Amino acid sequence: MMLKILIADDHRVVREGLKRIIEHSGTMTVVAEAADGAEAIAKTAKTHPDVVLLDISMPGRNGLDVLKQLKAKAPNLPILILSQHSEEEYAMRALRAGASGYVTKDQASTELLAAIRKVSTGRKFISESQAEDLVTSLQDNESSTPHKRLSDREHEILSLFGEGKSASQIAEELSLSVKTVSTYRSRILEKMKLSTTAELIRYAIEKNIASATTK
Amino acid sequence: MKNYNVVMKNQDLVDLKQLSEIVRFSDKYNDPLIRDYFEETQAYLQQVEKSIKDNSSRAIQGWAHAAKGASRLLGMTRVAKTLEELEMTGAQGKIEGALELVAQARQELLRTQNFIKTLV
Repeated sequence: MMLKILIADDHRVVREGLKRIIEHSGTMTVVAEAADGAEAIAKTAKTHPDVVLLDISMPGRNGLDVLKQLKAKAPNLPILILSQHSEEEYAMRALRAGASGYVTKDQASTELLAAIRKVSTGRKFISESQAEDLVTSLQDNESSTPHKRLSDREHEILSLFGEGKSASQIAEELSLSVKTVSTYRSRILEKMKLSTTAELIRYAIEKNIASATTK
Repeated sequence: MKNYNVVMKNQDLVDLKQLSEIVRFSDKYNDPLIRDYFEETQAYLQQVEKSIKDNSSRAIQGWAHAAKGASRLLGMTRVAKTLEELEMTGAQGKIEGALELVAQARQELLRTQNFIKTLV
């Protein structure tokens, strides 16, 4: 039986390239394509794919939120995250949020197909080089990477500060009150042992934390 | 032999193995996906240029990141590398040097395009 795949990526060229790799396999078929998070959620409900390939940085909605929503509706649905090298931090968070694995856009097609096959059986996929990154990340001294102690929401807010956004702009973007954003900021500062918003912004820029958010 | 020399001279531009996994027939340049890729990447570079004029490092980062994804998937290694530098420039909140990187990416894109035309 053919494995049914849904591809969610905002770039048509990327979707088409992935579709060709998948359909050349002869054992998988692309049942739906989505260009944003809302479309991915709606089409998953409609087409019941065996595996979802989800770009982590689509516009309109945070990729992690889309992942969590998909998992809330279909806990057993394998979701493979599409990532780029500079998004490792987000990929780790995606794995924690229930993703079955992650593949990068320059990974060989054989590896992509192997990843899809593996996660379709309920197992997890991680490539050899990604496993190495994962171990390095786990071994990282927490004092040199204090942002790893943040929750997903705190991390998202840190990244938005890193993009130069004000508390009121962040509140508007995330549909939160300014007071709630200020509370998050205080908690982030406390967890990271920083004193001012300027220090927080500098940290986010230095660690390239703003790299995989929406365009 | 001529074609072999052209491939050897330009092997740093494109990962031919990766490209061939997506575009299987030999006339790769006339594949609609490849034509779309070149058009789309040019359009993204125009957006980066606009972002430089608008003094928005955040937008530079976003557009360069967008263009890099398709470049990596299709094996356009040289262009992808320059786009990554552009993305990092934006991520660091910098504008300086971005215009030069856009010009470099355009040149590399043109070289890549001309090289792919020879692959018939």
